[in-house]
Amino acid sequence: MPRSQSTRTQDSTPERRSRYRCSAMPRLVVRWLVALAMFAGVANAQPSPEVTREFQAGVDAFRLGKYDEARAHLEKAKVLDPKLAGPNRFLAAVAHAQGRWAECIAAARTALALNPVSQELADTRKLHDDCRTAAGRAPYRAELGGGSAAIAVTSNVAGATVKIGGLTYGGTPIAPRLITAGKLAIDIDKAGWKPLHLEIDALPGIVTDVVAELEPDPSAQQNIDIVKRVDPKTNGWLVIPPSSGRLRVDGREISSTKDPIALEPGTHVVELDVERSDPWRRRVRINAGQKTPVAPLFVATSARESKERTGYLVLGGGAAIGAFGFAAFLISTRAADDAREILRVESKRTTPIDESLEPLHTRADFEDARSRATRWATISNIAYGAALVTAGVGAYYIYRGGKARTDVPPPYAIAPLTGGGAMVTKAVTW
Amino acid sequence: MVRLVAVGVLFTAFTAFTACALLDDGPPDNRCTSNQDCFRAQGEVCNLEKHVCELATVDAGIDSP
Repeated sequence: MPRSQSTRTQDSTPERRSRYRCSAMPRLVVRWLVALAMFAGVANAQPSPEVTREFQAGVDAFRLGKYDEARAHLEKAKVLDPKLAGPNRFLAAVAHAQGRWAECIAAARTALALNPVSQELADTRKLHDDCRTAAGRAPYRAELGGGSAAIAVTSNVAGATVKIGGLTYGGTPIAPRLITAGKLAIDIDKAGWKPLHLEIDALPGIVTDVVAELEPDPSAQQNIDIVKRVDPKTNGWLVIPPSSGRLRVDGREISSTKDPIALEPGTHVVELDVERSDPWRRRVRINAGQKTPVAPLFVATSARESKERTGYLVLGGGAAIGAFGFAAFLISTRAADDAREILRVESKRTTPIDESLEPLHTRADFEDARSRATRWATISNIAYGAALVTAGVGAYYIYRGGKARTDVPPPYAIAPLTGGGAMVTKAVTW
Repeated sequence: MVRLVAVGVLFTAFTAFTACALLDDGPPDNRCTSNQDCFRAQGEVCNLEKHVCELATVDAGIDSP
């Protein structure tokens, strides 16, 4: 929950109180009274000092990047006071930071359920959505209004009929769709399988995922053969060509690339290091039950650096030509000034000619100065044009020869998608 | 970051120099509209047909010896 690190929370949690220690006392008291009045149903009991201590320790550890420690403290706070939303929200943030998407979704959902009027609601919903997307679940494309909810239903049996509140919504899997928030009765049935009845609480502002596990109906076993059973899949696999060098996934080193590497569904950062080549960094989206092959294209470091050097040289050449252009412009200006001065003096000169005040300049001198001014102005303009083109070429070489940035998320690798499609994203070759 | 600053400085300098060159007045015109525009002390007058300064010539009349 990156934003929440810098924003105030209005939850009735110890976190809020700890942040208010340094603020004005009267405001604190008023806010506390308002909060207590508003959230009496949610937090009718003041958290014990022990809860406060554990929670604050968890928050501090999270902000220091000590996620395991943060998790331990927050879990304790959660056990001590299960009705507090704050520990769950930060547990979701910790899970998000550690890439444990399922836990992130569950914790964020719990936080939303415990305090549906929190001012951190928008952030918690966003965190929930981010974790869903990272977990490879289909997102709800439109904006969910304040009171609206969305529901997605999947089951181990494809094509099972889903009824919500007695209305048929279609067959599984059902992509996230709008629904009224609140308690919902869901019936899922399929010939050859035992019908399933579920009661769920669709929380406003987020997608509620319903995963149904249907059991075979022994009395109708003959039907099962014609039903495509979907195995529960929890992992996907990353396939890297052998001998691709040192491999790291999400910062963890993987010793062997011979076999497909099992990974949790979601987006992972894959890094490969090969001698005399730049590191290859890409984000790879892993889908449950799928093998995702990637084909790293390594860039030789020496060739890239040579290109970069050429770029700087050409850019320097462009700068030199530009400087020459400016010098030519100065010469042109000087000559134009001479011509202007000759015209001013000679058109005002009276007879008899007195050269003691100003030497005499003839029409030929005037034309010569004009000619020089025009010639050097042309040279200057050409030089400027050449400098622009040269600098552009140099900048292009520098861009092409630049080292891939490591302070930003890497680009996505091209990977096949479910159903035979292809995801083509910006694939940058450096 | 240093690269960006260097490129920015170069670009700014280039733009400034180019702007100077483009906005410069250039040399004065050598055309005339009256004798005031010519080097009268050197005997020039304005040819109002061609709008150029020329040395005045003595017009020799038919009755001249």
